[in-house]
Amino acid sequence: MYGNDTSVVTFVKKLRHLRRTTGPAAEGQTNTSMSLEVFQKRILPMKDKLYRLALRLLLNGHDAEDVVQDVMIRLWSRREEWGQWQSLEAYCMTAVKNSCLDRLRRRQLPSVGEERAQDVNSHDKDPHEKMIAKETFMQIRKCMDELPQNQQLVMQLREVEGFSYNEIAEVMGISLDQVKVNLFRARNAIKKSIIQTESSWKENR
Amino acid sequence: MEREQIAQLLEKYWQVETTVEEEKMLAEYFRGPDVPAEWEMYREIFSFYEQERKVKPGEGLEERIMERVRPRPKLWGAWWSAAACIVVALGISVYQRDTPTIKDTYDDPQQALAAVQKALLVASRNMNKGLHPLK
Repeated sequence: MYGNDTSVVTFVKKLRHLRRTTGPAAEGQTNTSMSLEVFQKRILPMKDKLYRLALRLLLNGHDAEDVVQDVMIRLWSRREEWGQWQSLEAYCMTAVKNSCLDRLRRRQLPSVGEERAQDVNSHDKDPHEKMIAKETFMQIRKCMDELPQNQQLVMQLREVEGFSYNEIAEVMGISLDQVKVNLFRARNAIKKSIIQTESSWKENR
Repeated sequence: MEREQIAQLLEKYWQVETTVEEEKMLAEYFRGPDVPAEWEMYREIFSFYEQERKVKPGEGLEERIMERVRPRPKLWGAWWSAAACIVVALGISVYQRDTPTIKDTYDDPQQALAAVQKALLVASRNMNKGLHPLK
C-alpha cells in the first residue's frame, strides 16, 4: 500500500527540480496542474474507502459523504504538504476517522453501538445498503454495530479494506498489540454470533 | 486448495495469525463452489465483507469535490466581461462629457428677446445704483 505513494514522491522531486531550473512564476502554474493530476489519480479514487469508513462510524450515508467531501477539499488546500506525509492513504483515513469522531461528539451520540434502532433505519434508507438484505448479513451487521468502536474500526480496516497491522496502528493511533487484541475480540464475537444464529435456525427447523 | 489446508488457515485466522495474503486466499476459497455445509456460516462471514467492500458513495460526490478543486475557466469569462463593462461605461461617460447638450429655455424668439432685455435691464439698473454713491 505504501507503493501507491511513489507518484507523490516523484511529484515532489519534479517540483524541486522545477524550482531549481525555472523561476517561481512558471513553477506556480505547473505546480497546480501537477497537483491536480496527483489529486485525481491518487486521492480521489480513495473516496470509496473513505466513505465506507465514515459510514461505519456515522451510520448515515449523507453525513458520510459530507465528511469525505470536507476531508478531500481540506487535503487539496494543503497540497504543498503532500510530500511530507509518510502514507497519503493512512493520512486520509486518519483525517476521516477524526472528522467522524468530532461529528459524533457534536451530535452527542453516546456511542455508535447505542443508537441501534436508529442505526438499522438509516441503513435501510441508504440506497447503497439495499443489496444487503439477507438475514445472516443483517445478523453479522447487527453484531458488528454492537462492538466497541475500536473493534469496529479495526474490523473495517482489516476485513473490508485489507490494511496491514502497521497501517491500522497508524490510522488509529494505537499499538500493534492493541490492533491484534481488538481484531481477535471482534473476529471471535462475529464467529460466536453466527454460530448461535446457525444453531437456533437449526432448532427452529 | 486442500480442505486440510483451509482448516489450518481458518484456525490461524481466528487466532489473528494470518497475513493479509492468507486472508485473501481464504476469501477466494469461500467464494468458490466447494465449501462444505459445515463451513456454510464462515462462507457467510467472508461474503459479508465482500458485500461491504462494494458499498460506494453516491454518483455526485466526485463531481462535487472536483467543482471545488478545479480552477474554473468560467470565472475568467466573468472577469473579462466585467472589465469590458467598465471600459464601455467609461467610454460613454467621456463621450457625453465632451458633447454637452444645450437645451433652449424658450421656444418663441420674441419671448426670448424680452427675457434677455429684462435681464440686461436689471443688471444695468443695479450697476447704475452701484455707481450712484461714487458721484
